[in-house]
Amino acid sequence: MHERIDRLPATLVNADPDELEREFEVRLVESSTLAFRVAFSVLRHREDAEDVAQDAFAKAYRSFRQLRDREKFRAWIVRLTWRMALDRQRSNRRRVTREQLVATEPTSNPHVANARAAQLWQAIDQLPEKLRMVVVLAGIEGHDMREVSTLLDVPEGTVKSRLFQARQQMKEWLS
Amino acid sequence: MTRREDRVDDTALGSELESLLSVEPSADFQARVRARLANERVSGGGAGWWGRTGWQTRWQVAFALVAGIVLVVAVFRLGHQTREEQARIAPPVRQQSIPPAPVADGHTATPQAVPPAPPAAGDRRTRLHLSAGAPIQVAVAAVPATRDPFSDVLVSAREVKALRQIAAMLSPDEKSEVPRPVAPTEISELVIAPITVAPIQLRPIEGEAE
Repeated sequence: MHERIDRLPATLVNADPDELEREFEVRLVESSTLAFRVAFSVLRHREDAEDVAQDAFAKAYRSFRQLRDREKFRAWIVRLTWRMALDRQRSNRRRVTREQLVATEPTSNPHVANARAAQLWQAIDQLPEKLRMVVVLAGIEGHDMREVSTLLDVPEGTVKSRLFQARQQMKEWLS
Repeated sequence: MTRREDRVDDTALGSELESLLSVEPSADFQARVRARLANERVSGGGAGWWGRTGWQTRWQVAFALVAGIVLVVAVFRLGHQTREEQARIAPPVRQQSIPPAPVADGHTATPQAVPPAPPAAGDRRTRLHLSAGAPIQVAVAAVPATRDPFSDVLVSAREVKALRQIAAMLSPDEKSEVPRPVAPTEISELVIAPITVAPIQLRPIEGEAE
């Protein structure tokens, strides 16, 4: 989907605010779902994921002059959203521990109600963070290796090997 | 498990993950992000340049401000300290009057204050006005802030006494309490005893054959 939108010219250094607004609107439309899904893959909670993605876009907006390049923006928003989602997850866990409550939200979510989905999420959660990120990004919007390597700013070979390792481990756990 | 089965498994797992992650945000998600950004614009407009800058620039500006404040405070305190030190070493009274020396007829001249000379830039010399019978006025030019505080010590008591003696000697027919210097006594005859030189006697060194 995002391939339809061409890279904006990098020579627009001193663009006027209106032009920047228009560019940001384009980025928002093409990357908002991606950011939301990344956040959801960590949090497994729709409202929380939307909040985190929203915060990430607010941050990106403040630094948009440095992130006008399309690929750079997408990679930046993915990594930022992932980090912020992890932070939110940690604070949620701390809060739950403090209140001595059992976290019921993820299991009550319709997306994980399905037993198979619950298994898959569990397998994803057990993966090391580097492998988990590759699996998630490869599973979102049908990203191929090249796109994932661009988003994570790692070589394509690394993505390939991480994806292979992740799938092997998941298959073991799921079988 | 064969490679083909593996690939099938991978494909199945991939499609499962894709369907698992194909969660759509709520319909008003983008609208809420836009509203949030609009709020940012409104609140960020008040912040001005500071609100739009990155954290690195903010740190640099904050550091420069702190350094500037420290520098100004240091300069101010140093200047204040120097002024205090100068005030302690050189008292503000810049004119001293020495009692007049007695003149020949027993009168003393009326002391007349000599106004201090206007301070010249860098002028640190002491000006002495001496005249017979007149009071000795030591007018000191106002000493500006200088590097050497010890030059502010002007005339010592001994020097004042010596000056008074000189002034008394300069006035003719003066009955001064100060004793005049006595003329040196002449030496009439100088007797020097003759110097006698005894010859040196050489003695042979021990063990040396004659």
